[in-house]
Order: sequence, then C-alpha cells, then structure tokens
Amino acid sequence: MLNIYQLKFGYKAKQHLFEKLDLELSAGHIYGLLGKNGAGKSSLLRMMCGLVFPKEGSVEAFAFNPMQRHPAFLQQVFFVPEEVELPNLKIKQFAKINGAFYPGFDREKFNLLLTEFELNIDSHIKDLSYGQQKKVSISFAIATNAKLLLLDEPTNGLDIPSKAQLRKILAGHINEDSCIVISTHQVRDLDNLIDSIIILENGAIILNENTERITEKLAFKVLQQETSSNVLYAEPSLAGQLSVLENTRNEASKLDIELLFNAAIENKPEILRIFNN
Amino acid sequence: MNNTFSFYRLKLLFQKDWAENKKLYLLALPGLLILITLVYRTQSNFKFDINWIKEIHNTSQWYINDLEYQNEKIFFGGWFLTSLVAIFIRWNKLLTRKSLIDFLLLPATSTEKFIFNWLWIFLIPFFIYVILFQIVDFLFISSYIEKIKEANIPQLVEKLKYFNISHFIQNGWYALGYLTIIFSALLLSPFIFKKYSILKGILIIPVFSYLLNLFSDKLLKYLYPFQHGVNGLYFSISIRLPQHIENEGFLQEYSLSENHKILIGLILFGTVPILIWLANWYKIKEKQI
Repeated sequence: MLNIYQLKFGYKAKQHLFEKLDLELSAGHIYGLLGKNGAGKSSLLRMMCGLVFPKEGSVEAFAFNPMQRHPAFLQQVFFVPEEVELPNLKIKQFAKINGAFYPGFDREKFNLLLTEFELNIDSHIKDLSYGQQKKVSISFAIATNAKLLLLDEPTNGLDIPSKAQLRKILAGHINEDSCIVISTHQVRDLDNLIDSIIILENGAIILNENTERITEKLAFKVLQQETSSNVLYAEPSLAGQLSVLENTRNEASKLDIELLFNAAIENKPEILRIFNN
Repeated sequence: MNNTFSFYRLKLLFQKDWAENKKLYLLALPGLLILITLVYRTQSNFKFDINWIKEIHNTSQWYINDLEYQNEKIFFGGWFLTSLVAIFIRWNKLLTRKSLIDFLLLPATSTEKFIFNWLWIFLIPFFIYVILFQIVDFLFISSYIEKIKEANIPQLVEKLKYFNISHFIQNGWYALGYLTIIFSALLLSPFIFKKYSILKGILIIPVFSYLLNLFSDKLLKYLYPFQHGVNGLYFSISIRLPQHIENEGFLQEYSLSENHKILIGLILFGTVPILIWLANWYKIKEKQI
C-alpha cells in the first residue's frame, strides 16, 4: 500500500532527520509509530500524505506520488494532526461541505461514529470542547473511508472513556483495503489495538514487526530478580522487575508496548539481532 | 478524474469557503458600503463647492471649470482598500499551520486552489466593490444634482457625471495594472514566508513598488534610449533637448502614443502579474509544511 525507499529528509540542508530509510506498509493493519521526541514521527506522517517532500529516495502510496498531491490521492488519504482546528459551523454543515470532497464519504457512518462518541450532529462546533472537536475530526476522517488514515497523537485531549471508544471505533474501521498509522507517545492508550509496531530512532527504523512476531521473538514477564541471561531490558515495579526477554523457549506472553519501546531504545543491537535473524 | 482542473472541485472550494465565512462576508458588505460612503463624504468637496458658489454668487465659467468631480479617484482609493481587506481575509485562512495543512490536503489540484484564491482576491471583490460603489455614487450624485437645482447653478450639472467603470478602465488601466501587480505579490506571502508573513507581506508593497518603478524605468530606457528621464508608470518620457543642454535647461516632457502605451502596458502589466501568478501557483504546488 505504501512504500518508502531510501528516504533522505531533513529540515536543514546538512542535518538529516532520515537517511536511507525504507518502510513498507500493508493494507489491513493498524501501525503504531513510536519514537522519542524529535525522532521524526510527525514528519514521517506528513511525508506519507505529501505535506513534506523527501530530499532523496521515493514515497509511493497506492501508485501515487504523495508529493504531487493529486486529488485522487488526497481523496484516499486523511491526516488528522495532533492539534485540530475546525471551522465555526454546525457538525452537520461541516460534514456536508467537507464530505463532498471525498467520494467515499459515508454520512451514515459519520452519524453512527458521532453517536458512539456521544456527540450530537446538530451541535455547533464552537460549543464543543477541544476533546469533542478532536472526536468530530477523527469521526470525519474515518467516515471518508480513506485507504490510508494517518493519526498524529489521536488520544491527546481525549478523556478516559473516549480513549476506549476510539480503540473500539478504529478496530471496527480497519478492513483489508485500508491501513491506519498512529503516531503516539501514549502507547497504553492504544494497547490491544495496534497490530504492527514501527519504532523510529535516530532517523532509522529499528523495528517494524507485527505483534504476533514480536511475542514470538520476545517474552514480556515480571521477574522477581533479574537473573535470566536472556533479559534484554528490565525496569522495577511494585510487582517485581518488568522484563523483556528473548523468547527462546517459545513462551506465550502479553505484549507490553511501552516495555518493548524502552527495550528497543536501550538495547538496540540485541533487538536488531533478534529480529534480523 | 480530471487531473488538472475540474469546475466541480472549484465549486466545492467556493461552497466550503462560503459556508465557513459567510458571516464575515455578509458583515463585510455593509462595512464596505459605510467605508465607501465615508470616503465619499471626506474626499468629495462638491457639496462644499455648491454652497461656496451659492454664497459668493460666482458662477463664472472659469471658476466652475476648475472644479473637478473626484469619483474616479475615490473609486480607486476604495478599490485599493477593498482589495487589501480581501487579501487580509485570505491571509487569515492561510497563515496558521493548521489552516494551511487543511488547505493543502483538500482534494483539489494546485491550479484549482490558485484560481480559487485568485478569484477571491481580484475578481469577486472587484465586482462587489463596483456594484456597491455604483450605488453610493448614484445616491451622492443624485443628491448633489438636487442641491444644484435648489441652488440654481445649472452649469454645475455638467461637472457631475455618474461613475462609469468602462471609462475608468479606459483611463486608469495602468493604475489597475499597477495595483494588480502589488496584490499579486501580496497573495504570495503566506506561501513564501514561514514566519511573520503578514509583516513581510506588508513590506512587499514598497519593495514591489520600487522594483516596479525600476523595471518600468529600465524598460522605457531600453525602448527609448534617447531620452534623459522617464516615468514608466505614467508612460511619459522626458527629454533634454540640445538647446537646453547648453543652458542646463529644463526637461521637455512627452507622453507616449496610445499604441506605445498599449505595447509597454502589455509588457509591464501583462507579463509581470502573470509571472507572479505562475510563481504563486508553483508555491501552492510545492509548499511544504
């Protein structure tokens, strides 16, 4: 669905954010894009929808070059930035005038999503809180039936019940023709939703794997002592040492995205070795 | 799907803009009417002239001939202000990062987005302004004619003419062309400057005025190498004749022929705005954020 090949990009001439970055995204998946502050997550999302252009290399999304911002491409991709700004309209007017740009826009689906988010379509956007406006924006993005949905920190500004609603809605939206990329720091908000994880570090992708393969290769355990030689990363908690281990015994464990991220950052060579084998 | 231009998508851009800003536009209409009326009130001294002539009983033809009704100048000043307001409204929609992202990611081509902006800066405000100005002008002139009749100075009626847009364009096309260049340059501002684009955009006016003067000066010097001084904006050239050189005498001013004016006008006001518009279209196409 989306291929990035040998991407070189930077905001300054001599300082590159990405060097020879390769990435392939497939339809039917929800990708979690993780990285430290300034790792280039938002830039990568903006590159995918054509808001910034690579210096070298190529980006291709369903046979389009995003740089050209072709209307047929823009109708199939929707980017929800971290901070949304909606016009001073009623929600239904907003949907009417903006939905007309997207041939796949499903008004009934939009209404349904609003109901799930406990929003009234007749409400005026200016009367909504920031979190509610974000829900309108996300609902609209989903209702466009865009093939590629790019969400930058979608849970920022959402209350706890809304985060659960968002997970449910996104899980219901994904199908074999579409792909969702979520850039986030709040990994716990999207636990059980993301099925593939991309970790960006120093301009390179150090991990791009589906959760199944991750739990096949790594085990996430609470150890009383850091005794095992397989421990790749551990951090203390009240229950004991939250640990990431190489899964040499094929044990089943529940993926902890935050632990995985910390392990990938702290013990990059080992993580690369395990997944490149 | 049409890759370059679609009237349907252009219509959608207008529908969206109208829905989002109709309150502002509808408020701008009476605002514009008030502005034109105020400019008329402050700039037009015809009412004063009527009273003055009436008081001094000086209805001699030479005095009346000196009176000049200023509605074309008022029209020009008002149009300048209207276009500036239109540009500020458009800037407001493009200045923030979020609004620019929305604009760039709307499923429409750069050509459609450029044409949409262009129409909102040049054509639509101009037509609306012309209509409103004609209304104000009609009301003012009709009231002056009534006053003239009351004052019994029929000679003054000849001096009053309702504003005629085609007469204005025929006589003031170079002024329209000049402002078109300035406004075209202003339209570029949000796409060129990342920071302080309003301030930098405002600075464009004197910078472009200077560059325009320089360009027209060079153009005239190139086309008429014999002259001493030129004034490209008004298409006049000044020549220091040989007999004057000895005495370091004065400059003789000549105006270009109509054909030459049209030729230079086409080069100056035809090509420069088109080049700026092309740059604007390119910036919309290539803008990164």
